[in-house]
Amino acid sequence: MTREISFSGAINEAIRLAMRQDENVILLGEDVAGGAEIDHLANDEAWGGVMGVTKGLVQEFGRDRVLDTPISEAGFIGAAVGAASTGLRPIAELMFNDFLGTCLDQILNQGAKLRYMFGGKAQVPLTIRTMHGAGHRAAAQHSQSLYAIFTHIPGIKVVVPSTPADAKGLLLTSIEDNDPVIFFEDKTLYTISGEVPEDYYKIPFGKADVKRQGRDLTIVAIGKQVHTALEAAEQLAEMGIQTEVVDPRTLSPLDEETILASVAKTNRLIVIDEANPRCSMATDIAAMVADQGFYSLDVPIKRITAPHTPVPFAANLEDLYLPSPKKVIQAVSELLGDESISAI
Amino acid sequence: MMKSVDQKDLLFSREKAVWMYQKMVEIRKFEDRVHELFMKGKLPGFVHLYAGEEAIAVGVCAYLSEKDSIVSTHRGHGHCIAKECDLKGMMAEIYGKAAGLCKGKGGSMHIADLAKGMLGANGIVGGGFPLAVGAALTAKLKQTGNVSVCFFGDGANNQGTFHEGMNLAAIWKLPVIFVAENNNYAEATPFSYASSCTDIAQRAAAYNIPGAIVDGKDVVAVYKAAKDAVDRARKGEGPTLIECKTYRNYGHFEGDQQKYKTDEESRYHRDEKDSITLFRNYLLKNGLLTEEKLSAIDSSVENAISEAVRFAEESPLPSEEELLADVYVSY
Amino acid sequence: MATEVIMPKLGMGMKEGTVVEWKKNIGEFVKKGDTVVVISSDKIEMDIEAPEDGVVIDITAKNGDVVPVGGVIGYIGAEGEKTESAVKPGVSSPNENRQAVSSSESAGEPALNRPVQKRKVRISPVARKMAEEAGLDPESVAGTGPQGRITKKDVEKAIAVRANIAPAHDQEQPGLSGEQEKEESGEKRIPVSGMRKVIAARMVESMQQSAQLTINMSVDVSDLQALRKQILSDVLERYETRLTVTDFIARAVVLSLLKHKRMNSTYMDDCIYTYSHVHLGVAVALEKGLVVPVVRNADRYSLVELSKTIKSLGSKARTGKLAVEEMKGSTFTITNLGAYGVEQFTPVLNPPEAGILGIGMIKDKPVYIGDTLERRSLLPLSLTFDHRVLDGAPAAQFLQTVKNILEHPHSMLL
Repeated sequence: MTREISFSGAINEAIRLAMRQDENVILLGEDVAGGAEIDHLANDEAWGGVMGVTKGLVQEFGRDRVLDTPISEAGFIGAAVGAASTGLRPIAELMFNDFLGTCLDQILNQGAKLRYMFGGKAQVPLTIRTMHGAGHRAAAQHSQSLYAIFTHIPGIKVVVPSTPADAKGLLLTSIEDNDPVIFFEDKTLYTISGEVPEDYYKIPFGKADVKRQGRDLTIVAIGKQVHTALEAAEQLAEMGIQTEVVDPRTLSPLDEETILASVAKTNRLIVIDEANPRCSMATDIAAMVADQGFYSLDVPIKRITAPHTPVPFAANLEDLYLPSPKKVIQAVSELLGDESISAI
Repeated sequence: MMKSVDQKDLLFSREKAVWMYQKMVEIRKFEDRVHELFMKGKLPGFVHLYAGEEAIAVGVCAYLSEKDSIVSTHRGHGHCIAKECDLKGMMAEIYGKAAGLCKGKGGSMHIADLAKGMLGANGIVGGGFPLAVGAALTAKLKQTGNVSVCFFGDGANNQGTFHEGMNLAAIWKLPVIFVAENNNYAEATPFSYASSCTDIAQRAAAYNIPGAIVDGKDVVAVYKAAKDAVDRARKGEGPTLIECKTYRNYGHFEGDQQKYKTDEESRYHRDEKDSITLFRNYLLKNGLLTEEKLSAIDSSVENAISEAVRFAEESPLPSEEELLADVYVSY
Repeated sequence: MATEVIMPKLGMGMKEGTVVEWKKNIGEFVKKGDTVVVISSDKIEMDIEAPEDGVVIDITAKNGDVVPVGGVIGYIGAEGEKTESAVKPGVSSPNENRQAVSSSESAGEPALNRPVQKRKVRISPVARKMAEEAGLDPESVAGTGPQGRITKKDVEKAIAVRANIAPAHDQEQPGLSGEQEKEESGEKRIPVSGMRKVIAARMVESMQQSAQLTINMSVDVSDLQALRKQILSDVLERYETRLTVTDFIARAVVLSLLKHKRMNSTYMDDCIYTYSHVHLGVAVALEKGLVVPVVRNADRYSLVELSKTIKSLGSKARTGKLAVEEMKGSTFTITNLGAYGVEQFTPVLNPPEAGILGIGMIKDKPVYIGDTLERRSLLPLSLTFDHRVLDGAPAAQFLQTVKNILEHPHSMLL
């Protein structure tokens, strides 16, 4: 049975199901419930997450398993690593991925490294949920998309879902996974809705989803940009260009095979990534295809990314910062040398 | 001939005393041997020696069960030995050999044996606080009754993780014991310069938890402080900070000329404050062990260390497949 | 500095040309204006003149080589001068490539004689791979991508064309060369080259890449013939040109094209181009093959001017003196097989044009005019058109207009 629920509802549901299934699963983070130890709230929550994503969980699972933390990322993210390596299966919420600077060591040098450094003796079944993405008028310190930084680190898995159904299935996989996973949630996607199965289901890592089939052009897009790609594909279809939209869903592991197969079919590749371009996923995927799929290419690989700037606050500038269907169509026009292709 | 002693007056049994003495000697002889091997160019990488601080690791671990966990530092050999890691596996690890406790992939700074509750040495100063807090969180939520111990040096007490870890442990009343090994130098910088406090233990007050100062050269004093803290933790009363004043016999790492030390302080710690000599005297004075027994332990440890070195040298290097192994459980 | 001798673009649709014959050898002195090499496009052979005085210092495309438009086929420079390309083979056919490779391999000196340092060709990776796999020299493929880059589509097209024109060439047996006869079978092998090869490729391309079909119509030209007879001597005297029925038909076609613009069009790269001018191609049969000189701006000419122009171009074509401009850019073509007794036939489109009108032999036939049978002169016309550009009805309407004009010929004198 499926029914239409929101992206944040799908995440909430995944956490709820995981916590019901395995008592070792705990949720901790800043105000995941909110209002801890305030007498009149008791087991009620003040917030249920800064965006309300974890609403209602504390009522069902109590404050021991839905654990409000101080604003102390190095402390509680590191504690989650320690708890994971000693028998719990924590879901730690790093409220905004922009805060990674405060706790990177605990992820980079502890969580990611323990297993390898210890010759396979440790395992760190930790999920770090974190919010990312521009478009929310949240400015430079609350709008970045820093998944490339984590993807760079061996020992960590990186998930960036684009739809409610993917979010639920991928989050359940993340929680069950025995390695540290960083699960990215685009804050502007929380309110979108889609068909989501009711049951407990998992979506495997390293399996890209072809969100739209096409023979003329491949667009690999990450997270929210999958929707930009689909919108552009719709317009391109009216101009007779059949676009294939590939959503990698997990950046580490990355489903290189599906991307390469799609490019082998279409001979053209655009990568949309709203992160900054230097050393980005767009760059990584472009390099991977140039390396392994060079003889599939009929046109240069085109990356559509943010510029090399922080995320601006002013609405017009932030819109300019982000990829858009118009920019995609402009790129297609350039690639094909066809000026008649233009955005509607 | 052993004097008759009323065991009730003692903190620990004779059996425990033998264990403690043996572990202290193992640490000392292990580190002295590693020092020699390093000088001979036999060991790769960085090596930080624990010699001189044996009383702390042993004094604390003597009161722990195998299920309690410890989190260590870059100066971690002593903690490993005190938590009963295998000497041969440790030495092979320091050699970077396949038979090492971490298959030769961690080295001196990352020796771990989770089955023994040794959650790992750590190359990042201050990296261990949150991990120990996390282990204690597991113990609390799973109600195992276990405690975790975070060993750290005086250099780490100025890291943010020290404060974040202490605060979290305090507000959640976690069963964790923070053990400062204040050897007075963070690398080449004296504690008096680097820290605003005169004693690390003072900082416990900021987190509303007990802070104790003990003589880190006196294993009995350390044991006593650890016992108080562990008992408190097991009762659910929260964390304790114990500051052990100590001194390292060697430099920050092998190759350190130690220009910051004075001859006087080195001589004092060697001649008057040597932890093994002090404990040996204690044992003899209280009639727990005889000279013969102590000497027998000394020589058996000597043999064990030689055996560990032979084992390490004979062990093969890791196979090339190991490069790619164990990055993930599955990928 | 050496000057490049380049394969010129001789027509709108021309993508490549064939080197027919070098008239000068390497080292030979040439004066500006001397014919250095003869090339052929799909339409005609043409002499390439030396752009300056000098010495032929290199020939990069040998006789028979097919070279994309704009490609260098040789260099003229000072005596003793060397070009980069003088040390490397330039364009060569796939066969020769293979031979070069195998001979060097058998000699145990891999790569030494190989054309490794090929001129840089703008070609996409997948196109290069496909070309290599197909044994196709990328330099022989015309690029249609941005900045002339050869794309996958271009290579696919080239492979398709080659598949239709070159199988005999590919299977050529070693030791059998040129027009050597197989005595036992009486069969004569003529390797297709030069103009013939180009025509072959163009015709296959036309048949494969357009949706062409032919419709026929008979036109009563009795009145026209009468009119022609009536004014023939006057016109000859006054304008020194002998009006032919073809001239009238050409004029009628021009007038009709002005009315039916969709017929006066070309189809290129998925676009239909229509034109307000009429550049009328008039097919001329030569011994070596067909050429199509073009009457530029035929819509500006009177009947007499048109007649004179067609004749002048025809004679230039027969003496090989057509200029490049005179073979470029036709928007519609007429072709006449009437002289050979052919009535109706199926002309093949001259790409990228959308129409070609075939003119058959006029025959007198009994025709009912009202209730009476009369002897009338009937002209069969065959219109081939590209169904991608226009449908049957508008094509028929165009043909009807031609018929109307021809059946009321006085209007053409105006």
